[in-house]
This record gives sequence, C-alpha cells and structure tokens, in this order.
Amino acid sequence: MFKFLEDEKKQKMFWGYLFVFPAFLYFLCMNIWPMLYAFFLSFNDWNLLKVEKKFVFLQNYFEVFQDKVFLTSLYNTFAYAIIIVPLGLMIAIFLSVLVNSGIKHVGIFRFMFFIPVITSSIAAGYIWMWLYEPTFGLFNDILSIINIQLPFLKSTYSAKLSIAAVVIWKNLGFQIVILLTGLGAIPNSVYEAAEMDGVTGWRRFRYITLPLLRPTIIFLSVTGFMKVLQMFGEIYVMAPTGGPLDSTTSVVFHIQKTAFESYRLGYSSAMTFILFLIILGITIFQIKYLSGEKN
Amino acid sequence: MLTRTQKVIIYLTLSIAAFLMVFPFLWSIISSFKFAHEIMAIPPTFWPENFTLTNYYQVFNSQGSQFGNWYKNSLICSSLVTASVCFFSALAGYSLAKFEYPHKEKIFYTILSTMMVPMQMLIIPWYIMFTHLKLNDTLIGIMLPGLISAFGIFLLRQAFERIPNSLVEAARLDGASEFTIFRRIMFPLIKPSVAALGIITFVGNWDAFLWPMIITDSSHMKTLPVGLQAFAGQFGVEFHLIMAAANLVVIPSIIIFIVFQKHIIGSIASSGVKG
Amino acid sequence: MAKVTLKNIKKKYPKAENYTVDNFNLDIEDHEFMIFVGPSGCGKSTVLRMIAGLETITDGELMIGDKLVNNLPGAKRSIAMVFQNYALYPHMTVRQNMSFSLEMNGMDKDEIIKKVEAAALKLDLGDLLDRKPSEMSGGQCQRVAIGRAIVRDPKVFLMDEPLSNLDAKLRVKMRAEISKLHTALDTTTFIYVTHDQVEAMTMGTRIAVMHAGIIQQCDSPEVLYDSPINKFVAGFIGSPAMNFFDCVVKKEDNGIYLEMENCFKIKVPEDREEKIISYKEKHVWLGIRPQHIYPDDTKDIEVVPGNTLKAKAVVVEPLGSEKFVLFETKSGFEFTARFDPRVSVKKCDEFNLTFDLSLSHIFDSASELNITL
Repeated sequence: MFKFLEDEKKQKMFWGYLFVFPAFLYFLCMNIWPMLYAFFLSFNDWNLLKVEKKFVFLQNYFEVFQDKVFLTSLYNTFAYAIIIVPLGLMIAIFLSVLVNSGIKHVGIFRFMFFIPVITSSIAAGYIWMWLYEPTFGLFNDILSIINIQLPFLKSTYSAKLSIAAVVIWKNLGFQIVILLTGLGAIPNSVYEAAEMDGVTGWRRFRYITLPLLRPTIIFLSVTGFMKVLQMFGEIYVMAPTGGPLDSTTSVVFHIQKTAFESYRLGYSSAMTFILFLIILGITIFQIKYLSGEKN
Repeated sequence: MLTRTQKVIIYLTLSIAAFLMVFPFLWSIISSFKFAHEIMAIPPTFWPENFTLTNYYQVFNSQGSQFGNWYKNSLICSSLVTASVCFFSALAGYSLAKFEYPHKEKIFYTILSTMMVPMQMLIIPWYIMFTHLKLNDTLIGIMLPGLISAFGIFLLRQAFERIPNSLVEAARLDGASEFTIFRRIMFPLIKPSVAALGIITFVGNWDAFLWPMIITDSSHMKTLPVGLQAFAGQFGVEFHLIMAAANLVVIPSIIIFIVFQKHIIGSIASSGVKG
Repeated sequence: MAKVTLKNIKKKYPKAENYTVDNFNLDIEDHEFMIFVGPSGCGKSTVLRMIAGLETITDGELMIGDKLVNNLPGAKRSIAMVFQNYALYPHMTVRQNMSFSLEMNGMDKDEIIKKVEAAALKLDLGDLLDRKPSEMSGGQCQRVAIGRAIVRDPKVFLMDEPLSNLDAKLRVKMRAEISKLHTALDTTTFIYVTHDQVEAMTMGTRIAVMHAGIIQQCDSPEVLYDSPINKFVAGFIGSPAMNFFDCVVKKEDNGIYLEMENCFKIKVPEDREEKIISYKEKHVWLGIRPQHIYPDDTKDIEVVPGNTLKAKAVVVEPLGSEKFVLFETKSGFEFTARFDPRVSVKKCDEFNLTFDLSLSHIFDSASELNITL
C-alpha cells in the first residue's frame, strides 16, 4: 500500500475521509454548486424560450417586490403559516396530553392519528377536494340539514382556511407522536413532586408540563414553519389555478408557475432566494425568541 | 388518578378526534363502490345502493392512465433512494462520529447547512443540469436529488456517537479492517435508527411531488403522485374516478402501516428525533 | 519471549501544553504481572494504550519481544486487551465475540471452534456461549472479555481497570481469578492498570506508581510499602494513608528533635541522626503510618518519655478486626491512627499518643524525597 499508510494515525484519517467523501461530493454537486448557480441565475434575465441570457443584476429582485402576484402569494403563505402552525400545534398538544393522561389503548389512538401522515398528500388532497365539493361533497350534504352551505374552496374567504384545515389534519399525527415522546421523557418523579406541592390540573400543565416540553415544541414549530412556508402539493391539487383571485397561491406555487410555465428562470431564481432568506430569518427568529421565552 | 367522568370525557374527545382523522378515507372507500350518478346524488346515500367496481376498472383502463407504470416507478425510486440514503448516511455519519481528521468539523457543518437550503432554490439549477445531461424523463433523474440526505447523516451520526469508542478499538485490536468494522459491528448496532430513517425517507419519497413532476414528461415515467394529478387533471370534475384512483394510492400505504405500525411509530419516536 | 521494553516513551497531545507521559522507561520481564497504578490523570492508561497501539507514541521506542513496534498496528503486536467496560459486541453471542478476532486473522473454522471451547473451559464460560452480553451479569461479561482476549494466545495481556465496574465482593473474587489466570498462562506477560492501590498490592509482581506522567517508583509491593522513595508513593500506597506531619528539625544538646508547634517535640532515634542533621532548622515531613501510632500506655512498643502528643478523638470507625480513629490536635491538624479493637475510644476522648519512630519516614520538604532510606 502507499507509504504514508504505514503511520496508523494517518491510516485512520484516510478511512475517515474516504467514508465521508461520497456524501460530501454529493452535496457539493447537488446542493452547493446548484445554489451558487441559482444565485448567479437570479441576476440574469433568462427566458428559456429566448435562449440568450442577459445580466441585469438586481433588476429581478426589484421586480419581485413589485410583482402583485408574488406579494399576494407572500401574504397567503404567511397567512397559511400563522394559521396552520400555532393552531395545529395547540390541537396536537391538547390531544397528546389527553392521550398521555393515563388512559389505556394509547396505541390505538396514536395509530389512528398517524394514518393521515403516511398517506400520499396528493391522494389525500383529492379526497378532501371531493369532500369540499359545494354541490355534492359530504360536508355541504351534512350542513344542508341545518340549511347552511359553505363555498369552501370556491370562495376567496374560505379557500385558504379549507386548505389550511387539510394541512393541519395531515400533520397532526406526526406532531402527536413527537409530543408523546417528549411527554414520555418527563420523569414521573416530577409529577409526584408537583402533587406533593399541591400543583395539579391546569396549573400543573402550565408550569410544569409545558416548560418541560419546550424543546419539543420549538422543534415542531421550527420544522412546521419551514414546511408550511414551502407548501406546494396540497395547493396544486386543490386549487390548480391559484384559487379564486389567487387567494390560495403560495410562494412556491408562484415560483413553479413562473419557472416552468412562463419559463422565466432568472426571475424565479430571484424569488427562490427571497424565499430562502425569509425562511432563514423566521427560523433564526423563532429559535432565539422561543428559547428565551418564559412561557 | 382520573375520575370516571374524566375518563369518559377523555375517551369521547379522543374518539371523536380519531374519527375525524380517518373518516375521509372511510367515506372515500365506501363511495368508490358507488356509481357516478349515486355519488353525486342529492340527498346523498350512505351505503352503495348498487355495489360496483367500475370506477376502479376505469382507473386502470382509461386512456391516459398508466397506473401500473406509476406504481412501478414509485416503488423503484423510493426503494433505491431509501437504500442509498441509509447506506451513505451511515457511512458518513460513522466517519463524522468516530474518526478524527483535519477539517472534520467544517465538513460536518457544511453538510448540515444544506438542510437549510429549501428545495425550490435548487430545482431550477437541477432542471438545467439534468437537461444538459439528458436525464429528463428518466428514473435516475427522479432519484438523483434524493440519494443522500443531510438529515440522515445528522441522525445516524448521533446514533453512532452513542456507541462507546472502546467497541471500535476492540474491533481494531481484533484485526478487523475499517470497512469490516463498519459492516459487521457499527452498522448493525444502530439498526433502530436506520429503520426510522428508512421509514421517514421512504414515506417522504413516496409522496414527493414537485421535483418528479418537473423532471418527467411522458406519462409512463411518472411516479404515483404525479401520475395521479395528471390523471385527475385529465378527468376534470369526474370525482368518482379521481377518488377511486386516490384510494388505490392510499390503501396500500394504510395496509402496510397497519402491518408494521409498532415498528414504524416506535422507530420514529424512539430514535430521538429532536431538533 | 514476551518482555516489553519502553525506552524514553513520551506522549503529548497536539493541543496540550504539557506532556501527558514524560520519559517513561521500563523493562517489563517475561511473565511478569506488572501493574501501573496512580491517581486519575497520571497517565497510566495512556501508557497502556500506547503499548496496545490505540494511541500514537510521540517519542521513544516501544519493543515487544525484541521487535520495535512503534509503527505496527495493535492487531499485529501479539497483544490482547481487556477494556474497563468490557467492550463486548452487543449484537453477537459470547461464542461469536470470542471467535471474531480469530476469524479476522483468517483462522480455519474448526480451529476457531476448538480454541473458543478451550478458552471457555478455562474460564467456566461453557453455559454462556450462546448468550448475548445484555443477558449476562457484569462479572460474566468481564469473564467473557478476558476469554475473548486469551483465545488469541497473546504474548502480552493488557488490562485497563477491568474490575472498576464490579461491586466490591465480585471484585475480590475476580482478583483471585485473574491471579490464577496469570499463573496458568505461563508464557504471557500481564500489564494491568488500576487506580486502586489495594488491587495493585495484592496482584502485582511489580508495581509502577505513576504521577503526572512520570514513574515515581517501580518495585515489588513490599519494597513500595516499606521503602517508599518519595512522599507521593508513601502517601499513595497503604490504606488508610500515611500521616504527614510538618515539623522543624531542632538540634539540641542531647540529640536531634522533630518539633511540630503546639503538638509535639519528638526525639529522633540515634541511628537516624546522621541523615537528618543537615536539615537543622529546616522543615521536613514526618511520615507515620496509622498502625504505628499508639496510646502512650501501650505495651506493644518501647515508649520513649517525651515522645508524646495530645489529641482528641473526632471520628471512631470500629471495623471489628481493628479500630480507626481520626484524631485532631489542639492546633486543628487531623491524622488517623489504627488501634487494636480492644482499646476503648469514644468521640471527644482525649488521648496521649506515641509513635513508633523506627518505622517512620522523613521527607525533604522541597523535593519530597525520602531522607531516611
């Protein structure tokens, strides 16, 4: 073998590098290089149909902020995030605490809550779309008993909420499983000490359970926001045209349309970068804020 | 301890919630056996008046449907990607956890930082790159962006760190080569974490939509979610068919889940999936 | 030939300021039971790991047999090691654990089975061969770890604090087992690391006492106990530890005295005067073992009048076979005495005590070397 391998320490270093090399090379090619290329692209006006690239520096970025559809989609995406993540987490925490309260059959409930998680979001999207159908969907059928009919996906007011409901429904099970793990990690002795101090019920939840769950909650909140800010599939299925007056369009939806239907690659790259910075900012903000929060 | 009333309320609440979780599928299954006109009837019926399998038949045999191919593509892609992710993540995770070499920390943080990059940023460059390499409309094109996962490396590195170094040292003193140590000692010891990673990867891949949609053109190359969407788009408002198709995608997942559920939930929960 | 020679061995970690092991010189003979002992951080494990090939040698030469092995991987040095936490492969049975190294060296399957069975017989592991480590107790795991090592017929057998994870009773039993094993394996040299000086004293043929990366003294247990070369060794070997009194040497007309203020003024025996006289008016350490302190009405030694000190009993530990008493002088200095169990002592009792100076040691205050050797 090579001479330098006679030195045992160097030999181990060689293997260390060798084992990590495929992954590192992969990320260089599939992540870092494309990201730099996208960055470069964002400064160009490049329409696939026109072939030639034109360097326009920050013009794309300026245009993004004047793009009405983009701004609407940004608003929509934030709206989604604010509705879905906190609401979803609260429901998940509520249900997790109930499941963890000492009843039997924990497994069955956990199992049923988790089913939506493992099903295809596209397929589930269609099923819900059909439930939401104003004329013959199940929901309006049931609501007709009390003489109410809701437009669900067809109206600017309710379209977002309808989609949000589906996203919450789909992810609840995953959050519950993670929360149950977090709850399970709280040693019984803590609860016993609380009982001796006379802290029970709501106060126990607020002052003992919740703070001990904080790392789990932060994790779910950070990853939840990251996922929702990148929402695409559910919207593509349930509102393929962007919804009534673009009211359901998310940022990624708009990016995809601009890149692969209008073929403006430079412009859409600029949009992806803005999205990236937004996600980064919100993530950092959350980690800082939630970690220092009292409640 | 809980009082009787409290228990009843809790069970009731949880049962309602659990029902709300699964009723879309239940309703979808029941309705898929009805004829189209019955599905859209007002007032609605519960049980099918005339039980029929025609919807399913039409899903498979309609023009534009390549269900068989879509299933096959999804299966191949998800399986290969899962295997690749598990293997290479383990290899890299092992290196980062148990070896010492210059710039190791930098390499780790570089890999970790790629988790922060949202996929949408990369899709456009990927599309351009792959088109150049003529990988459009190929299974390789679908699989390539998912072959190694930074999350996987993070997870398995954590798993390896929990194994005492003395095991690696003992194996070295026993005369095992580095790759043998990895294959016969270290990798088997993190099986639960690998299982969790495998499940998360498989499910995530099975459901992947945006990228496979972009990279595939011909119908027979599409994966299940993409095919389903295109298929439904073709059929406009023909919900009876869309729904049957959706069922065909959903039911197998549920069945597999029922069979492996202990494993699946256990692995995800216990492998320490914490931020 | 299974001797191990360490010449000027040094170890420095890249980011450390000092040498972890400095100028370690030792010739370990064939079939010795050599023990490295010392407090945490003294470098004993580091030396062992260098011999095993788990740490690189910064400087110096390591020879096993007559072969220079500095750059040879551990697996090729004819050594075997028993780790503190056993390091058994959790997913393999005992049989597989023991076969693994032989398999790695390309041994024939039938040969492997024979060797494993032979080793299992020696260590009484027959019933455990198909169990996994999680199904066994700590003591059983330790025996398997030893079995895994001896199955390779090593020239040198390395053990890194193998008994620290076991409970006290088991430890005593295993000490005897390991000693018997050493006798049985008459072509193997044992090198054993521990922080427990009782283990060291009971098992080793020679003990290397280490402190801050340097060998303080390497001798048989008796020599270490009776003739410690410096204050560290004197205080480390022997339990309970030797008491050290900070005294000043005073020369008077009728002899040389050791004076500790407000405590005692003791006359040095004549045969020692010669060694002490150069320390006139200087501070020295007087080292007295607990069992050499007596109440002054004792019949066990000849009591020299004036060689007494007053102290108050603070803690009494009756052990049945002996009594340990923690005394406190008027000036607040504490020391331990070992009494015959029949002596009546209660907390707060005032005692007049005397020393057996013929067995005491005196140490230089600065260098801490034993002056009285």
